[in-house]
Amino acid sequence: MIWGAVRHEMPESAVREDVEFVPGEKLAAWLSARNGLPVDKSVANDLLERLAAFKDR
Amino acid sequence: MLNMSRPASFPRQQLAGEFRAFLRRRRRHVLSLVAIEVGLTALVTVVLLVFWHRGPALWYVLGGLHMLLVFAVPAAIAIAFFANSRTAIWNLRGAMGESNTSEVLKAAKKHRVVWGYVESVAVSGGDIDHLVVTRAGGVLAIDSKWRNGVTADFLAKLAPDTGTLAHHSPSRRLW
Repeated sequence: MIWGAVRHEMPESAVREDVEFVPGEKLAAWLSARNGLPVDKSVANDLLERLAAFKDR
Repeated sequence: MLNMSRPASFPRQQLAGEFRAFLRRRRRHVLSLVAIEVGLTALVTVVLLVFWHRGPALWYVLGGLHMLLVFAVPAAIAIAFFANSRTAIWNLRGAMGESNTSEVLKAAKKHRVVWGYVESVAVSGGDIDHLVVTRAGGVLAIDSKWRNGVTADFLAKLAPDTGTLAHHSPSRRLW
């Protein structure tokens, strides 16, 4: 995610080595456009809990 | 907008540490500045009260001057801090980038685009700014940067580091 003055110069989609560079102001639209792997609510909640526990370990 | 009440991210911790070290190093200068400011405020107040005719304008000017002088000290300290530190501005930019991304993710969660996210996850080799559990795009590792210039070289150098961090993401093992 690129913020700062440069975000206006960023191309719509710059990808290097599987890493996608997205201008900050396009983040919301970019997230809405994700249409890959669907995630169930129960799986998401479980994963978020485990990630939070991993962070606090 | 940078919100310092958030759980401290890596750049925010670095910035806070640098600022504390600056205040310790320049304690005498800071105390002198505060003493001068208090003295100046007192002097201006007395001069205005004695020599300016009493009326609504006096209290308006007095309040304005007090406010100006009260904000002048933190502003002067902040300018001196950033002028004297090589890395503070980088950490400030990093913290601002992460803060902006957090604001967008908070809105995305509210609008049911993502299920949720975890901030500042320390992994081997660094810190992942945000791990986002989307509704229709799996789990994303987001690294935020603040830049005022970009080159192909910049993207080429950043990509491997970011890719390595994402590779170490705990979501790869926990999901």
